[in-house]
Formats: sequence, structure tokens, C-alpha cells
Amino acid sequence: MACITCGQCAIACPTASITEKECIDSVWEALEDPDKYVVVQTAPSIQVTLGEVFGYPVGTVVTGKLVAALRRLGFDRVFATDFTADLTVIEEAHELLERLDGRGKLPLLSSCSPGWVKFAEHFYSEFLDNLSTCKSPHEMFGALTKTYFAEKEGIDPKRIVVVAIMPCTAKKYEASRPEMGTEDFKDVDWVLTTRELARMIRQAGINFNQLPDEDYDVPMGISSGAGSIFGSTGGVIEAAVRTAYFLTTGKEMDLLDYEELRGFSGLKEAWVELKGRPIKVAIAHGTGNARVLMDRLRAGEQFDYVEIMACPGGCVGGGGQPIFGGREHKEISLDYRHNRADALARIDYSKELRRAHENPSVKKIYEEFLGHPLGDISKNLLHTYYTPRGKLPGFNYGGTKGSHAGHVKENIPPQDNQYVPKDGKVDEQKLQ
Amino acid sequence: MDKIKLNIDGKEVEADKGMNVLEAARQAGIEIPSLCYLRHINEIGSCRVCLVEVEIKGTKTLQASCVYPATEGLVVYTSSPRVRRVRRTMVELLLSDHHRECTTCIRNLNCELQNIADNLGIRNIKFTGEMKSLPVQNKNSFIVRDYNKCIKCRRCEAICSKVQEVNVYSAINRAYDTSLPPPSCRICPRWPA
Repeated sequence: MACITCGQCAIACPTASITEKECIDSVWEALEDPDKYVVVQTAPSIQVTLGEVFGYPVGTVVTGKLVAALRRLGFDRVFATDFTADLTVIEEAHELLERLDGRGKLPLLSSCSPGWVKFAEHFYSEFLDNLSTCKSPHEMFGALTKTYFAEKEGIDPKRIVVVAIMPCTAKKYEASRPEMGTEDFKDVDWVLTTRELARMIRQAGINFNQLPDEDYDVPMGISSGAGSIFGSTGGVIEAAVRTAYFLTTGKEMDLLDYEELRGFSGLKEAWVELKGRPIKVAIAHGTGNARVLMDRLRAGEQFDYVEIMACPGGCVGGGGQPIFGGREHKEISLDYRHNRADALARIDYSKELRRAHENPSVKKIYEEFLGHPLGDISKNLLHTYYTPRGKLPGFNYGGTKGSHAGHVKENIPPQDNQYVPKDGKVDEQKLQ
Repeated sequence: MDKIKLNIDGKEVEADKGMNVLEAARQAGIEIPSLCYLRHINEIGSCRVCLVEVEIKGTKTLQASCVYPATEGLVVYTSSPRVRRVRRTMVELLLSDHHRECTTCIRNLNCELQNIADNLGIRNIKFTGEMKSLPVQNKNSFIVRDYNKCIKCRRCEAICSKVQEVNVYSAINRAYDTSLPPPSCRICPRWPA
């Protein structure tokens, strides 16, 4: 069967037989190059797992030290992926509302987890139209850094190197996808896992435990609590529903925490009131659970909004998270991942900004650059398309453009013939 | 849940019915080293590191505790001289064809095999046999596989097929030649292995 690149095998391996592909050297090279302007982004879950490597108990929030360490390593700007997670929330909430209006297929399937996206491309390719066309937050971040940020700061995008600190091996694959970028640049140049960042910090001789707490840079380091909870299962839907509720009613939700949406049972369903009608949402984490849910969809069951994370527990259980050669192999246990997720929930609670649409930086980026959600610029930069791939590795059935609502406007790079089928249609028979 | 009583290292221990000896011991605070075992995910007894002596009707046999069911009145020795000796041999056998390049290894100081070898105090390895030299598969953008360091615990296979239900890995060949998966496997269309 085809690999979905989730990296759970690397977490499970007791030795170094299966490991992530390191790209530390390339990042050092970029940092040492005086011509390069190196921008780093950190995924929401990194701030609750990196501390484990340096002896902190599971679930310790080390955001401040993380930022300080990255500055010491020599990154020119330290930003948070949480910011573009907020942006993803807004784009995806608008997409949901559009589809609820009858423009586009329901249910809307989330597309933040690249492992899940590849899983869908291989095993559930008939649902690719249901996948949200939103890129994952780290790719959105890369695209905006090399356009909006470059323009604002007057830096040539070719000089900018975007490094992403991710809990994930699938993000490494995602960054290498040809559709993630334009003819001129790749959205994200290098992806480091949490483990690799820890090694870089050690290589630089930084005493992590003694670092002061520092804040992310502005503007792309400001984020709401909604962005933080992206890192655990249920977070994407929770964040998007908070915003969709505001968009439809003009009111903030009274109850901010959908407890029934979080927690660690493999498969969850809930009803949420939106647009005057109840919508049915479902959450699955771990592709084993995703398979159960997708088979129910295939059998004709109706859902409106579905979030799926490829790794058990969501990003907190990602294939790039710290591994300990300890007795119980705790990283694999869901209890352990739950502790990490609790820390993300604490970050969410502790923030004054809890909803994505309240984020001032996000408001500003729409005013200054993007126009409005699902506008032309955001369709080009922040949305993508998917490729049916078949169950076995080695096949590629040609590109498919999001056929609903016209979100992705011909943004397939012209040179990329491999992904554009000759007759512009996907051969249905081959897919069987 | 029905409870049963068994005797581990001369101590009366209570365990749930259906538990294996390894879990029963750990629940009672008695540590048995293990390598291939992942609770509810990989319970196949392939590495034999968790060997214990089980006494039935006066006869002691060596059993892998991760797959041996705990039953009422069972007598178990987790650290008898024979267990320690055999366990050490099992780990030496695992190490005998393992590429032991610890100081330059990506998992140095974070490796379960290294950890167990250290705990058992293995200073030299009696066995000198064939050493594999398979090419490292690193041509994709995300995962590197070095089967020279594989100990065939099959945890990757278990997590891929039971938790993620993707079934990428599956063992081929037998005994010494076992591999997970075949070296010619292509992990991804764009990135040949």
C-alpha cells in the first residue's frame, strides 16, 4: 500500500532503523549565508512538546524559551504558524458557510493534516472534492511570507528562506509538493521536526533551561487561542465553528469551549447550530479511525463538517515529536498525548484573543493585502488542489481542481504537466 | 473485572483476568525489560527480551512474558540467574548483526536497544556472524530507512497496520533474511525509495 508519510513508524521504531530525513545541515547553511533572510515559523504543538527533550515534564508550555532559542540560533524573524492557523480558520469558516449555502459539496473535510490529505488521495479519492481547498497553515505561512511580508519589508522573495518547525514528517513531504509554491518560489523551503530543532539547539550549545522568555515577532507572530488548539484533535473544528458562528450571527458564542469536541476518543460526533440549522460535525484522529468515518460517509451517512488528523491525538502525537527510549514508549500512548493537548488547551484559555477573527494581524492582512476571505489573491496563494493517486505506490492519475465553487483558479503551474491530465478529466475507470 | 492471584518473584500479586505476565508484573511494580512489546498494538513476543521463568508443576520453563497469559496460581521468576543469563544472550544476539555505530547514530542516547544493552551491562558480544550491509533508503523527502539497524521487532508494521490502517510495511523472507519492507519497495510515486 502507499505510504501516507505520517511518520508513526519512526515514533514506533526502537532503534534508528526508521528515522525522519534530517535537513539540519541545509538550515545551518541558510543561516550562515549572509545574503539569505531566514524566517522561521513554529507549529502550535511545538511549544508544548519541545520542553520534554530538555527535561521538562510532559505538557510544559515553553513558548518563550522556544522563541528565545530560535533567536539565538540566528533566525532573522521568529513567527508562529498559529497566525496562519487563524487565517486558515477564517478561510475555512467562509468555505463552510459557502458550502452550507449550496455552493460546493458537503461534508467539508478539513485539509490541515498532510498525512490525512495523502491518505484521502490514495484511499478515498472520490472525496477529494469535499476536502477543503485551504492549504495547511504552514504552507499558507510560506506563501504569505514570500509575498505579503516580502513586499512590506522590501525584501526580494528570492532571498527569503522559510523554515518551518513542525511536529510532522508529512509536512516535509507536503513542502516538496510541486503545487505548494509558484514558478518563482517554494512556499516553505525547509521543514524541521521537533526532534531536529532540539538537536540544533544542542549543536549550538544553547542552555535551553536558562533561556529567558521572549515574544514572537510582529506581525505574523500574533495569534489567538483558536490557532493554538490546531495542534490537538478537534481543534480545527472548534476554532472554525467559533468563527463561523460569529460570521453568521454577528454575535460571539456564549459557550466558548465545546467540550464534546475535544478529548481523546477516536471518533466523535456533535451537533452545532449554524445558520439557523443544526449541522453535524465529526472528528477522527488516526487514519484507522478516519477509515471508519470515511466508510460511513461512503455508505451515505450525512455530515456537514468533518475534521480528520492523520496521527492519533492530532499534531501532539505527530511523527516528528520527541521520542524517548524509555520503558513504556510513552509517546505512543494516548494518555501521554493527552497531557500535551491539555497544555495547548491551557494556552487557549490563557489568551485574551480566543477567536481567530479577533486577531488584529489577521484583520490587517485582509485590509492590506488579501482583500477578503476567498478573494482572488487568497485563492491563488492560500488554496490548493489534490491529486487522486490510487492505493498502490507508483501511480498518479493526474491533477484535479477543486470543482466546487471555483476556489482554486487555475493555479496549477503550467510546467507541471505531470499533474494535468491531457483531456483535463480524471479517468474514472482507472480510479476503480 | 475478575481478579486473579499469581506469584511473581515470591510476591503475591493481584492482576486482572486476561492480562499477560508482563503487564501483571509491571502493575505490581516489578520491571521486566521489553523491546518489541507495545501494549494493545504489538504483542508478538519476537524479541524475547522479556523472557521469564514460569513454574508449572515443579518444572520451570522460559517464556516470553508479553505473550504468556497470567493465570491463577502461576509462579513466575523474572530475575533468576538463568533468566538473566538467557536474556543477556538474547540481547547479544540482537546486537550481533546490528550496525553498532552508536556515537554517530541519530538515536544515540535515545535508543531502546542501547538502553537495554546498557541496563544488562553487555560489554562484549560473543557472536561474530554475518553483518548485513543493505543500502540506506533515503531518496524520499521525509523518512530514512536503514535496515542494517532493524531488529525485526515489527513495531513499525504493527502501528502502520493496526493504528493507522495503511499497511505499508509487511515482512518478507524468513529468519536472518527477514526485511520490512522489501528494499525495492517504492514508498511514494514521486520519491522512489
